[in-house]
Amino acid sequence: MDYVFHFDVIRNYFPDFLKACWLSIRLGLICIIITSIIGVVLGALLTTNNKVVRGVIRVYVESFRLTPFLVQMLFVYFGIPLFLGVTLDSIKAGVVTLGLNGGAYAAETFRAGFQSVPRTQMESALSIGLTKTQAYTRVIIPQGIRSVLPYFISSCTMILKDTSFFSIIGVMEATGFIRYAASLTYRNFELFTILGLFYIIFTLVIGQIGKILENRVGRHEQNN
Amino acid sequence: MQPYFNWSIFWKYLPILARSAPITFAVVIASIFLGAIIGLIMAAVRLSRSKILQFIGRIYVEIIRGVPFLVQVLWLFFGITLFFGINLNPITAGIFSLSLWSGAYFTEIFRGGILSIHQTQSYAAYSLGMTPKQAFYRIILPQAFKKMIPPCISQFITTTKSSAVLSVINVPELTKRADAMSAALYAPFEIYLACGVVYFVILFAFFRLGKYAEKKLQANTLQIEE
Amino acid sequence: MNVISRSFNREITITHAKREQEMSESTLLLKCENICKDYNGHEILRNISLEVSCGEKIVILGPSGAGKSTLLRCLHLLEPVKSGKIFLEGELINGYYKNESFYQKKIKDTVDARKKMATVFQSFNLFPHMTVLQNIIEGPTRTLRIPKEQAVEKALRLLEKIGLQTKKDSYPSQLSGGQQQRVAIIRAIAMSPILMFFDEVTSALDPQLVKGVLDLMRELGKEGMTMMIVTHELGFAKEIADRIIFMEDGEIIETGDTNKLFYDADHQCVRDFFEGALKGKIDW
Repeated sequence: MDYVFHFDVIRNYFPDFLKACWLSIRLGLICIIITSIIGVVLGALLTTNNKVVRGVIRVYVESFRLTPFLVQMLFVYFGIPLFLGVTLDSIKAGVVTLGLNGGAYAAETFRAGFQSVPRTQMESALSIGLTKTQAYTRVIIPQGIRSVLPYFISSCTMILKDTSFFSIIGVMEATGFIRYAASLTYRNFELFTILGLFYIIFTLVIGQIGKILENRVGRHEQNN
Repeated sequence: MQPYFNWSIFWKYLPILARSAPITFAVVIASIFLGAIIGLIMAAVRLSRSKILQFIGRIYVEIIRGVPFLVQVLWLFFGITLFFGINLNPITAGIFSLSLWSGAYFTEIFRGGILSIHQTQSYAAYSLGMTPKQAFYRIILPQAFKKMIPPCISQFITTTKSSAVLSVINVPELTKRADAMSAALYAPFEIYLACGVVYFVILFAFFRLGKYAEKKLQANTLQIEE
Repeated sequence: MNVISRSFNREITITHAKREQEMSESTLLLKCENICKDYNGHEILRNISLEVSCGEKIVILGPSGAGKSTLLRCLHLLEPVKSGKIFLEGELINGYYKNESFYQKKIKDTVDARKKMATVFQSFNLFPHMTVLQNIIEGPTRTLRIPKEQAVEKALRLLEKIGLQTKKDSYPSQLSGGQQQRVAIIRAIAMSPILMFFDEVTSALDPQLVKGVLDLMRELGKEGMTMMIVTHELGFAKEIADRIIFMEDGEIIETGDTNKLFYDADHQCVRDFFEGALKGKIDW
């Protein structure tokens, strides 16, 4: 083992690495926003009685959940522009795929949340004269979201980690930047270790937020 | 511009792609096997009384679950090899990293399954004069084992999906084949779609199996709560 | 419930007859001295000392969180105590002396001591993956090493007495709560214990199922079984108890004769407790 550590490499690249990390964080947050919107809307639709709507959403959800994210991303980035004859830059392609992918998981999460709201809630909402849509938006959806929010936030760490795949289609986020730096310097071990540290801190912070929320929700339920 | 899709390419290359599925399968099964062994050991480590061992187990799980699998693969294949000055072939490196990765998830599945059996069951076993060993093997484990089946199936699905990442280090599995083909034929839409279909068909079977197992177990537990 | 009557058995009678001979000089069965127990720095039991004579029925009362259930679990050695000594039939069972210092017992000795006692739990704690019959013979065959045929025969006889012999191949999940609890009691009896603990055995049951379980316990009491009972059924407590122990905040506040505690307790908090219970105000 005659490997000599050269951590000065990291010092040279550190400012640029931080910028790349910031890009990763922003990409992650955008994808989380898209994911939550898709998740809530489709999750609510999955609890309706319309079989056609449910069937279509099921196909979307399962096809995204049962194929590798990498294949989906390559499909969107390389396939879609050729198929539709449009240009799609790598960041857009990545964000769209990850948003759709996360949305498929989130739809299931939120569906479970909405279904966990007792049926009596719906009945009492209708009994005070709300329409069914109002009952959903005012009663069922807020309660359902609250019950699965901690779990959803914890599952967002998956989305953050999956932004690393963007490096494969050439986005210079944290992983992409480190791969680039590694190809120039061959200080792979040091560089990838630092990269791993970034992701661990990143996911630990999100996980912690999820835990804090969980305690809050738990307390809320106890008070009731 | 007109949407362009060449069905003949899709149908021609679907079976050819499907033929590299066994490589994916072999890698996944080898990794699941090793991963389950790692999981068993680490679950025992995490459930042990020693604070130090618990801490080691926790660090392992947090690192593996906190770092993207892609980064772990790159770190292992490009970092560790350089660090130790060894040459790993891609398949070995792939199986190694995939087992290490799935091992962390198996650790949590096994640990969670055992912890999910309520403490009162061990009290009941002890009150009949069983030793801790007897209580674990006769009472806790059989119940925990059932609870572990659905998450294990879903872990198999996740591992298969993650194996696509190994294409990055040139493991000749499904995604790598699709990569090469789409570049050669310049038909990424058709080829990646076919690739997705192959994954979907395989995983859908396991998905249904998981749902079935879950339903059966749920029916059981519902009765118990009643 | 008359079916159960004419008793539980030769098993118990035989063991008891033997025991009564041995006990003729001293009828002390269980004794504990200064038991302390804490959980994450939170004291649950403080200096508990008590004595139980052979055949005695002791009911432990007290508000929730008083440490009653913990006390039973500690006496049955299901949980270790922080300090204090527990004697069963005059033998120190939770530790031993070596060079005049006190050590915790090894697991094997603990297990041996546990086998002599039995606990019935609030939440039944039957093993969900075993049938009723398997549940009952598990202890006798695995830990008492009784041959399987013999254990099965005894289990069936006991089941017949509670009228559940047809359920022998059912799983616990297929029984009602009351049936499950009666099976749990049978499972405990099948161990031929010399002392039984009942930990709020009716609290998880619907009111109409309570009677069957209490009848079974009365029957056992008549057989001469030594029992320590934690319950919230004051009527039942009054009827069965030879002696009542009142606990609060991990301490024994008062102990004594049933009528004394119910109607003429020395301590204000005990009187408040019974008064509150009468008015239905107690938060168990």
